[in-house]
Order: sequence, then C-alpha cells, then structure tokens
Amino acid sequence: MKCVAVSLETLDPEGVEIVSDVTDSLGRLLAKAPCVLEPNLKKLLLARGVRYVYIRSCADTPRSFDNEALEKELELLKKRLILLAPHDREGDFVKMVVETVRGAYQKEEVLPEHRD
Amino acid sequence: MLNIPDFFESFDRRGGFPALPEVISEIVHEIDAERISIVDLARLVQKDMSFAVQILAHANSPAYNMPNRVTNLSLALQIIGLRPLKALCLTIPLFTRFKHIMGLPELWYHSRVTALCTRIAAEKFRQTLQVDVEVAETLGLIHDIGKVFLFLEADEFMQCQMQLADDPQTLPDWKRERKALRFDHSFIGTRFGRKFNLPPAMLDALLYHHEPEKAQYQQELVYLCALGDQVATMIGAIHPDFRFVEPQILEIQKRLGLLPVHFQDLLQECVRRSLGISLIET
Ligand SMILES: [Fe+2]
Ligand SMILES: [Fe+2]
Repeated sequence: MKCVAVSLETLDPEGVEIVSDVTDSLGRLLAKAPCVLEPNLKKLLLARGVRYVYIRSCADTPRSFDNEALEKELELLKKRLILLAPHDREGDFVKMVVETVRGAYQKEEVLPEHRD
Repeated sequence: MLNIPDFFESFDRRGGFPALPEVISEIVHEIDAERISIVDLARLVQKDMSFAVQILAHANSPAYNMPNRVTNLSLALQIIGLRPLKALCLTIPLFTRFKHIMGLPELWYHSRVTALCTRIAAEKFRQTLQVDVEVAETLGLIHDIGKVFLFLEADEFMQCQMQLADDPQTLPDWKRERKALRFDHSFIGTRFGRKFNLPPAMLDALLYHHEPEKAQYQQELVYLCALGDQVATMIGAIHPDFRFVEPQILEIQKRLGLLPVHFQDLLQECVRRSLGISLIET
C-alpha cells in the first residue's frame, strides 16, 4: 500500500493518528503504530531527527537506511564516548566501538527484511 | 537544598511510593507467594487489559527472539518468567502513569534497552560468570527506578539536571544528585526495591549499579548491570539527564574479563536486537 508521508514539523499534533511505525534513518523503532500524535511525542520525535511520519497505514514499509544517517549517528556516538578519551590514550577502545557499531548497522541493512 | 529527611518527609506525607494498581498488586503478591500456576496467573493478568497487552508486547520484544508472534498470554508469561514479570509490574504502571513528564519516556526507553543489553551479556557470558539471565534482565529494567521518584518529588532539580545532560564538563547524573541532595537515585531505588521484597542481591545491585566494586553479594551481577547500562548509553538509549558513556566502562570490561572480541560480539548483538525496541510505547 502506498503511504503518505507528511512533514512532522508542520503537522498539528492534536489528534493525528500515526498509522505506521516511526523509525529513525537507521531503522531504530521510535514509536509503535498506531499512536496518537501528542505535543510531547512530536517534540521527542523531532529531537530524534524524525522529519516525516506516515498518516496512512503501510505496515509493510521497509525500514529506510542511508549512509548519511549512519555517519551522523557515528558522530553522535563519538560525542557520547568523549569522556573516555583521557583513559583510552591510543583511542583503541573508541575506534573499536565506532567500527563495531558501523558494522552492525551495515550488516542490518543487508538483511532481507530491512531491504528497501 | 533538599536532603534525605526533607525529601522523604515530603515524600511520605504525599503517600510515599505510589500504590500499584489493584490487579498488579495482586500479581506481585502471587509471584512473591510462589504458589500460583501460570494459567491462573494469566487469568489474573487478563483482568487488567492494558497491562496484558503490554505483557504480550514484551514477550514479542527482541529480548526473547521468538520465531513467531506470541498471542497467548500463558505462553507470554512462560517466556518472560516470573522475576522479570515482577519487575514489569513495578515499572510499567509507573512509566505509563507518568509518561507525560518530560524525560520519563526517555528513561523508560533507556531502562528497556539496558534490560536487553544486560540480558544479552548474561546470555553470552553465562558460562564464565554464572549469572542468572532472568535476574540480570530484571535488574536492567529497574536499575534507574529511583529516578522516577526524583522526577516526581524534585521536578525543578530534574529539569536542571536535564539541561546539563549535554555538557561533557559536568559530573555524571548520580554524582550531581549526591552533591546537591546528598543522596542519589540508587538510594531511592533501593528503598523502593525493599518495599517490594526484592532479594538482597538485587537490592545490593540497585544500590551499587554505579559503584559495582562496592557490592557485597553478587559482584558479577552488579558489574553486568553496569555494563548493560553503559552499552545502552553507547547505542543511543541515553539517560535524559546525562548523555555520556562513563570511563568506568573500561574498568567493567577488565573486571568481567572481556576481551575486545567479546565486547564487539556483545555490542553487535545489542545494536541488532535493540532495533526492535520502541522509544515511545503507546
Ligand atoms: Fe543509574
Ligand atoms: Fe541507567
């Protein structure tokens, strides 16, 4: 079924029903459908970088994945790991974590159920 | 400044920890009494439809890797197990009731992902650490429960805490709590756990999840929970009041004897399985 994606930013939160799971660009589930868009939910989703939501049912929509989103997530990951720097002098641990997370997302992309 | 007597005086005056809904309270009582059958327990759970729906959703979560969708409540309870069920009884009603409070949906997400990561770590290192997978998962789910009461009783303080969440120069959440209040969420969480008769090893773990080296009972379990907590943060299930992974992760890894290859394997699995956990639960 074809879905209509609407901009979350401009969507009036009152009473709109989201009918398809909301995921971020890496495929992480943010809100399980069906759910009613409330102001707090809208704020949270915007804060997580969600720009569009589906307002018609499309349960079989494949999760989207793009490299730009992955690089953005890895930048955020490096930021979350920043306190480790003085203790991880060669940066080996941080490097290992970032590469493992990169690999895990890239591996997920090739799983058939996550393919576009 | 708030301090322990002030905090708990005002807290107790307002009725203390919020009472569990009647059916949930009955479920907890039956689990503690250890004499109810799964079929009877399912009948009891069914009396609270919204809780039953959440239990079914949990049985279908990535924690259990079920090949087919679970639609039968008795089966769901069997899959989840009694200990994690009790933890769900103590957390779901609270997080559902107060989901409108800024920060709590993120804390609930963090708790569920920590439960998953602690469980995965317990599954992977079961042989060497001899830690019960169900206990590990339970602990992950409730480790930050004390924060809920800080959100309820010290809302202004928690709003300030959240404003500092992004600042790497600031102390971690629990150290800031101690500095300002002279107690932290681990302390309140332990009081909550005691009220609901959690076993000593679990109370110990609640109290020391940020300082596992101080734990008296099952130190491996506490280290495992601390590991799950940090891995959850690593993969994006952050605390609403502190967004950074603490350097302690390096010590935890050493203490648990994890080689880089073990850690990579754990991290990969945590990323993969956490994809199915929803930030917002409806
Ligand atoms: Fe904590
Ligand atoms: Fe935590």
